[in-house]
Amino acid sequence: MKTILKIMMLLSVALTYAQTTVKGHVTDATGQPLPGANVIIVGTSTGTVTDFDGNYILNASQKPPFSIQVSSVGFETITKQVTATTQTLDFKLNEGTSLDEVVISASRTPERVFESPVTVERFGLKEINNTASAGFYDGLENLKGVDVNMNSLTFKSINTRGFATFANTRFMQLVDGMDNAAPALNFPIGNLVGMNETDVLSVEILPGAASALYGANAFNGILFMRSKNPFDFQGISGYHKQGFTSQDAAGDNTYRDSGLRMAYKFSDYFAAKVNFGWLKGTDWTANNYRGKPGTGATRASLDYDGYNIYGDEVSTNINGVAQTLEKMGLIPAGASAIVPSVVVSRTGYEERDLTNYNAESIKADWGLYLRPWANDFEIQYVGKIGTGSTIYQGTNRYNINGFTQQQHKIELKNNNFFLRGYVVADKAGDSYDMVFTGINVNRTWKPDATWFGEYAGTYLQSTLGGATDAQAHALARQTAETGRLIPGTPEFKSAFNTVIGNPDLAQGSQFRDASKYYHADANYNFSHLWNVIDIQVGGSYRQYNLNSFGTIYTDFDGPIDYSEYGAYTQLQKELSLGGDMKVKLTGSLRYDKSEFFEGFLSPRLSAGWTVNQSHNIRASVQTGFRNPTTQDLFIGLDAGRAILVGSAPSNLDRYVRTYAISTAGQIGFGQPATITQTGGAGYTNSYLASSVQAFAATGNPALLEVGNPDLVQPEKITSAEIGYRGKVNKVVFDMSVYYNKYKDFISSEVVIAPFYGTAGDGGLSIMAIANGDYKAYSLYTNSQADVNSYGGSIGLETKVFGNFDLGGSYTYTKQDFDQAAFPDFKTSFNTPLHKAKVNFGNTDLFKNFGFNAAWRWSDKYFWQATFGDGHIPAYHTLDAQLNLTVPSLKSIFKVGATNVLGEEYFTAIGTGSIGSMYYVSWTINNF
Amino acid sequence: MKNIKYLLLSALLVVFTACSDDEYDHTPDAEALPELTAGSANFSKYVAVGASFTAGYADGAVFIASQTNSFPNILNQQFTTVGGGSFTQPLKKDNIGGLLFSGNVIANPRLFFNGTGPQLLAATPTTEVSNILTGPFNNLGVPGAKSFHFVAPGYGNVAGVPVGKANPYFARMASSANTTIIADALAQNPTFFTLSEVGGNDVLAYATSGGTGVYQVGNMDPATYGGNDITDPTVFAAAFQASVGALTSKGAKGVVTNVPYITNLPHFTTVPYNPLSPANPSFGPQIPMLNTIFGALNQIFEAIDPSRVIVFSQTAASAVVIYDEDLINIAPQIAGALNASPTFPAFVAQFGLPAQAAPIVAGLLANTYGQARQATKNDLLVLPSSTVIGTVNMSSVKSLMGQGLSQELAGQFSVEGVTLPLADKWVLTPQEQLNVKTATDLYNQSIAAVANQYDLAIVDFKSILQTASTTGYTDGKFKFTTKLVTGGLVSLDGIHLTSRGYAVMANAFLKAIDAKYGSNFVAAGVKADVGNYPTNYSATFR
Repeated sequence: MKTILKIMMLLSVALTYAQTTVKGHVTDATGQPLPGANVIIVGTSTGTVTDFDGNYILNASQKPPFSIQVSSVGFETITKQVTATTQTLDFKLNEGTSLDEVVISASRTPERVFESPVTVERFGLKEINNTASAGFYDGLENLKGVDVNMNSLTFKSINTRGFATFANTRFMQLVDGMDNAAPALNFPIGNLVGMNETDVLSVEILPGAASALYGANAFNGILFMRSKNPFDFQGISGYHKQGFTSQDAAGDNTYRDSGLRMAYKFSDYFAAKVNFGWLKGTDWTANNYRGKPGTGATRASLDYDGYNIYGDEVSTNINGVAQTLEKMGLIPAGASAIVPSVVVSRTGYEERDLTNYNAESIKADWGLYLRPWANDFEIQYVGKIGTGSTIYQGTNRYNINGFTQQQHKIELKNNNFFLRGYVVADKAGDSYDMVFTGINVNRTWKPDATWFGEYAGTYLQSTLGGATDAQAHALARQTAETGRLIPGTPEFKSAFNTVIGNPDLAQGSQFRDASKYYHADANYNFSHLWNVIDIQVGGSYRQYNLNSFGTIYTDFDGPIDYSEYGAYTQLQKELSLGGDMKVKLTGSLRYDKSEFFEGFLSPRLSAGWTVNQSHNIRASVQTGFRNPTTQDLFIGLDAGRAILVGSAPSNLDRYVRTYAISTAGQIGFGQPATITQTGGAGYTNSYLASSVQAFAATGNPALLEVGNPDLVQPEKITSAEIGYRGKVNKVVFDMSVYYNKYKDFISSEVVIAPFYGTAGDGGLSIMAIANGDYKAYSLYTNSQADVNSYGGSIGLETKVFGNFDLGGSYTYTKQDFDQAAFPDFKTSFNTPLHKAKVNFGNTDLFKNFGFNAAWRWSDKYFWQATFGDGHIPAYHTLDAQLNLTVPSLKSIFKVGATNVLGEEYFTAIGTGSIGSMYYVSWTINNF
Repeated sequence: MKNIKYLLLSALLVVFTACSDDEYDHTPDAEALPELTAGSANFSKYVAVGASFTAGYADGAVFIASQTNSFPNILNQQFTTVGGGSFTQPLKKDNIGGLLFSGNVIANPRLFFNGTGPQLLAATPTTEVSNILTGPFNNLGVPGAKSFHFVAPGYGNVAGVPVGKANPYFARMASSANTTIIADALAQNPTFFTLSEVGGNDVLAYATSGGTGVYQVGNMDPATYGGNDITDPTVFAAAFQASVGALTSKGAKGVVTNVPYITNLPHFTTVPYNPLSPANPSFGPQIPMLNTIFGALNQIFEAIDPSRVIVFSQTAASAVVIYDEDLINIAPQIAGALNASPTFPAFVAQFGLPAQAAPIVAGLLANTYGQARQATKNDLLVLPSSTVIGTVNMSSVKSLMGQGLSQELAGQFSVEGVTLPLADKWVLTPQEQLNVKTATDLYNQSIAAVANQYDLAIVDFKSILQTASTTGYTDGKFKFTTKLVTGGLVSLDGIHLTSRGYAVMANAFLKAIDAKYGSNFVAAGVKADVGNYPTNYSATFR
């Protein structure tokens, strides 16, 4: 009854003509105008924002008396009474602290940071305008507890609480409620296809599990970006940044980034906006030419496999080659004895010969916003398209070139609910795998068998001619390399173009994909109906449409579809304990079900205890889970040394190949000339690859261990956190400690499947291995290892010397995992034990002039990823900017530099070192 | 309060900038090797006593590079890391090898690999034996020395060289005409010695000569031995005991080696017993005719000793025909049977010989095949036989022509290994192999006993060669076999090692030294990287 009345009332209000006009001036405590402050009529969504000079005009349909509330990020909110139909009301806002800022991600409802039940980091307009980083997304690395893994100039991967490579599938990125992950990759490519800077309203990060509200994938955290609604933020705004990047390996290269936002409110019923952005620069050149662990350290090593040298991954034991040459009668019987049992790798190409390092991002989005009743009920259509070029480092290094991602969303919402549906689709464009490019340019020129045959033959000949081992190797490589394709020549170019246009990894390196997913979300907040307890319910549904044309997934006969859904509820209750104390209790429960797995319940319980509006202690326990990615489930890819086979039950029989049986197998064991094996053999009839190696080394079949890994299941986390926020004498504290317990970590396992016999039969299968009649598979399963992690962070903020902002944070992150018990298992924790960040700045040092400096320090750590492992040295870096606000031009001019100390550093093995960036920027009308 | 919070923040800064100075070395951790210890032995003065292996003999010769890569020199390089001293060797004048005496070549230059097989270097040696070098020399390796030569005065007397009473290799470095090898070693007061491959030459000449010598068991006077004889084991034991006793008399420690079964060497295993291929155009077409001739004899063999039947296969490789002195001579029976055969004159006539020649032919066949048979897999053909098999023996031709045969016919009956049984010197028969093995086993018993008596380290050459000849012997990245040319271990002469083989040997010594004297050369990585030593030397390397 109450609702109906309310709706009736709202309708009648919407249809009446404005009767009251309120105008005024909003300033800060020092009298400086506050642009962009929100002015709303209390209890409604009717409102406006102040212009660049801090002025506002609000036309309201209400008759006085009513209240209007003025709020601005970083300031305390003020409410005043309107008593006349035409009235001037000026506001002077006192500066608040970051704790007063409002976040919505933590509880799916607006609340002050101070009272949020879990740790939340916020990056708002003030931070965006003041960041010393080159862009707002880059600026996120100054938040406490947030690591940014630098993949390339334009692809940065956010990592919270560890366990992240660049393929951070444990972290979710939402833009206006839309998942930003590329369907082919299962994670977002930074901000490559993201948001325009002047359209960003706020960015929030929840470090830690958030599955209870956001479902699978929000496993280790979520990044939440909101754009400016054209009803609230109108006009034209934009920016242009121009500068250059500087790196030892790449030299100085120009960099520019422009963005434009146009928003227009046609009436109270309809508004629209368009954004456009174009960034162009040159990526950091990756020139780590050290050999990967387990191979020779320098290019002089026989089995050299340099991180950023491609083609040298192909290696073999030349004694084995000589034995083959003997069998073929190409060298005398017994001659292989003089050829040593050493692994030799082919000569590779430097990464810089296989890419032009173009870093580019072109993005556009548009939105139509309809408020049919001019109230809080809104219908949105938002479309986004982005294309770009960058470098992505996964198992290999990929040149993402002309990659396109589209998103289209329709959303219905009001203050109490939303219902949205969207589609995310990608096209891989002209992207290619640089490692396989190197490998296959080599093969196009000279097949592996020929190259190694020439090598072993020359080695033998040289030795008999009097060469020492080293001399024989040098002559062998020289002979095998005769006629090598030299970068820059037409022959190289032609082979290169052929290779990057062929998606078959045996010959080419093209990355081909056009996958999509469809997603629907709904949420209803009952809090306006019932005051006893705040209840929200919601649900989501997602359908994947995998389409790699058989090049990545086993979708050779058409796209693969599968779906998952989930539903959740949250109950929130605030209890007053008398005096200045109150407790807010929040309980959430989410149920998720994927087509392939049992349903999962993930609960979250949290409590926040507030004393005196100055101290808040929060505690939460929650569980989360992560579904295996599309690749974990449906990949079917021959990566050379092993075949990757996804673990979905329907995928096992879809990877089918026919293999030749050795002569020994045919004659000695009555096997046919060929057999057909499916990818499922790895899961049902296999030995662990490590045990096969042990068998090969010793000849002892007792060392063989049956593999047969279990099909992959979702990964689970239980996370507990306690935190404190408070203000003591203008110093703001925010600290927390957490403990995460992971179970069923998704991992891959390499196994060897014999072509005949049954693994563990003690006979025939062993002979199959001995005869070389087997195939290696890399499979997806769950580790038995217990992996835990814990840590904490403390952040402090204050004003010093008057109005200088000083903030600092320290984060401790530790994994607790018994590596010795699971020597082959990589957790990819990839996070330093200690890190510290300090910000120092002044937004108003003297009239219209501000500055900001951000310093970050990271302890050394060990990087683990499929591309390569290695030590990351400790580093520190300083970004700084000076800015000038020109009110008459509604502009902010900025001069800034990142990594001004010029000490290049890297956050991962295999990427280019991060150099410095110098830029000037002009931002118009962004407030 | 206000001050406290600033202090807190600045403390944070200080702490972390301090930490950041701790730069991390991100080169992959190399596996740390243990620190080297010398153990109980003193390597300050090392003297190597031995024969050809000690001298660095390779590819049929001693030359500068082979000496530089001799196992004692490689060993001493490792010793220098724990206080070893300098190591002098009686270096040759060139990398050609071979020796001159009064300007005449008395030892051939080295062999080289010509792409298909070993070939003698077409060069003249420049090392003159009578230019006696001034010692002392740490390397007292004397190629050809037998056990009793080590303690034999006058073995280094230049005057004895042309008459075969002295050894040219010792003569060019001996400190005096009457000294002994052991005496020259002792004179240097060694703290450490190797006494290597003693006993090898005591059986080797017998074996390489195809067993033409005598196993001198029971003969205690080596002065009466021929060059190709096998030394009596008791004589060996006494000489070895005397050598070791002398070398250890001043407290030196050392290593000795046992004697391998030399029949595992490629000199004896390279030429197959059945090298006669029917596909060979100069042999295959002759097979029917040959079988006809031998058919006449085979009837007699069938009657007396069926194992002597000679048949050449038209589809598979056939064994050569050899002379075996251990067979009973059945020449009279053959002659008798042939002469008694009514068809024999007709048989002879088909070769264009008159019927009256039949008794002569019968006599010739009887003499030629009285102690002949086809070889079996148990016979070992020596390496040089490969250059002889299938060729026409000219002295046999001359002899047959003297008996009245035409040159053509004489030639047909003089084909080595086919119509002319291979002489004793080309074949080591099972009986001859047994002599070698029996003597070797007895030598090794003595060596083990003496090593035990004097508490010396011992290198088990026998098992190393055994392993190499069967499964292959692994050192570093290489798996060595005893295959000629391509096995990596044995040089082109089929007996001595390659430089890489000597590096393998040096490592085997280090292992034995570690085991006996508590050093850790091998574990500490102080050993030869065998790949640094070549297996071959090119023809242009002089």
